[in-house]
Amino acid sequence: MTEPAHRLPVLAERGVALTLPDPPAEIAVRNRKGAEVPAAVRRGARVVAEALFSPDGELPDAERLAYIEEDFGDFYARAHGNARMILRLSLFALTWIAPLFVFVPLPLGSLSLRRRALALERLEASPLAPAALAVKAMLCILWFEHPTTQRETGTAPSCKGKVAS
Amino acid sequence: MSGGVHSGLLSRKDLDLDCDTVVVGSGAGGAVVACHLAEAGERVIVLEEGPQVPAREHGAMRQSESIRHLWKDGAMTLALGTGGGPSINVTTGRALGGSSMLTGGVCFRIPDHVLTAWSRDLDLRELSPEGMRPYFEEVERDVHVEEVPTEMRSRSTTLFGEGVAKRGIAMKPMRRNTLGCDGCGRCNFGCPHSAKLSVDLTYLPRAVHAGADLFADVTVDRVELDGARATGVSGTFRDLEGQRHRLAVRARRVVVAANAMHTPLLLARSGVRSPALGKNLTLHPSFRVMAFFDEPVRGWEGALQSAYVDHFEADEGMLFNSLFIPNGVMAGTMPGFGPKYWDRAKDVANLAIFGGMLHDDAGGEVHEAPFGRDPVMTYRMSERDFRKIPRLLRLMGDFWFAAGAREIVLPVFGTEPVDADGLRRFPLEEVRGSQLECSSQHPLGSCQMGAARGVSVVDPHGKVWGTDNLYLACGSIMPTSLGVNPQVAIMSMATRIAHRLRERRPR
Repeated sequence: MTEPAHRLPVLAERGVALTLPDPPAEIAVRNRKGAEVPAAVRRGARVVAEALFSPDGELPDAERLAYIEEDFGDFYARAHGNARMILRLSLFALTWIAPLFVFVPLPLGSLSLRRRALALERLEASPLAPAALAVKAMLCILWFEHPTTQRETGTAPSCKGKVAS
Repeated sequence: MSGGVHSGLLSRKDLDLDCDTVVVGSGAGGAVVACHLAEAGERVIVLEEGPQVPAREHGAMRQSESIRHLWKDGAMTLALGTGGGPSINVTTGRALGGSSMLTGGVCFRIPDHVLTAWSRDLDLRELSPEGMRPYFEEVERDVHVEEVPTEMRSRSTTLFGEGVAKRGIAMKPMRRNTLGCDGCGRCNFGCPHSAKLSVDLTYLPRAVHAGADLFADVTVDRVELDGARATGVSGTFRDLEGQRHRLAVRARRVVVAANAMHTPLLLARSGVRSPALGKNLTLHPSFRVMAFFDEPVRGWEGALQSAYVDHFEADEGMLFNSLFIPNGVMAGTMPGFGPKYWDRAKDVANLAIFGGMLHDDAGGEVHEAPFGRDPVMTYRMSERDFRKIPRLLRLMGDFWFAAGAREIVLPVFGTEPVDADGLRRFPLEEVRGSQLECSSQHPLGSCQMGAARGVSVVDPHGKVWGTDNLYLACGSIMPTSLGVNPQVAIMSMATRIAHRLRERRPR
């Protein structure tokens, strides 16, 4: 395939291609193997997601929960550097420390949805709030990328379209 | 002559390479230097820790996929707040092309008052407004800097502009390095239409066209120094099977452009000693204020960044920039879990957002981590900067309410949205640093340029003091905070350094 000419005429005239040569498919980032995902990470993310995305106090749709658990695991597996450590610490705080805010010395998953939400809200209002934010923000990004959420909230991606410059 | 793009993943044996100039880092600084030196006929090798992600793949990735593949630490890098100030989430890119692939394309020249201070107060005489003008002009040609048309503004930005106008203040159009923007509001995740002319679409193709070789997926551990002379760099990489290999590049000149977080660590590991090394880090601490409107805003439709308010920059060190962030991130800042959370999060399409940025004092430091190879950053916000935060947030809230917002969402953890009365009553002056949600996309200045050796890391031409041929050309060399987005500043400083280097072929 011929490389497209550069968008900038001054570079097109010099024969500079618009893009660099593509890497082979075997090293495309999406094809790379990620790190191992501990079961506690998947489980912890799901337990928080169940509490977070229960608009009427009922468990969200099982298929979407499975999707977010899987996608959270994929994010964990592939994210670079300190991301995995931060997510594990954050999940630890949500799983084991949040229940103490409702005086229950048991893991978060053992609480009812209502108690879970209350425990997490109290942690969110405490100095441990940043720990809650890391996991909450990531779960929300993934949830809002799901086509069903986008339909429900009117947030499907769209562009403004070109205007004359 | 044409070079190529390579990956450490595909090499099954150690790499021993030789060139005139080796450039560590392929972002806004490294790409510029590599391009100019390759076009001057030098044999150039560029080394990049991150992967190569072709521009056409950006559109196929969801935003969270971009974060997991292209962003350092999955966007969770933190500068730990000390002295009562906020901790700051610092986001940078980690890919061939560096953070330039993830900017909003914003192109500010270094403000005249900043350059005047550099040239007059810091004795960096060539860095005057007059002295830097030719480099700004050259960069703006190279990356096609153009003004964002008013019609390309998102509804979110337009609303903020209406509020600002009601207070008698002008909102100005931004300039960006774009050509053919579709207004998809996702520049931070790589432009899906290759309309943002980041360095992977400008300087790097030019460098390769002129014969440079780019290596992705390789890690540089140290610059090899023989006394004052840099003889190359060494590092490691892993192949597809996970086997570790050694990288050695012999070079007659070394240019490090590994950003303000990694450059000082690389120098320290290589034996460079300077009291200023890793100090004086500035971040442009930024705070977003979101606003609920009664009707859908759909702020993602339009240019991600298109306008700014600099009315308060020169006197108070505050710049207001338009921006947009993923709906999921905005939803994630809504307080609560379950019904309480969803009650607000479901209306995320009605949210507008604008950012406020501080022209900060140098309060950051970069340290070696006790484990791993990534740095630990600390940031002690100055009293002066910390006292500005309530005013910055109140100003933004006032602009939103003037525009007709129903409620605003302050960047204070765990708080409910407030209406205009609520903002007046909100005890912002009593909020602790640890309660503030603060971010930065602009780590700068940890290897400052200066006119005197004892207080800076590089001389006025980018050469590390005490070395013969080791240069820096990234955001780390900024002598002070800029107060504006640094892309053009980094490219222009790198252009200036490259011009001088190409006149002095390495021996």
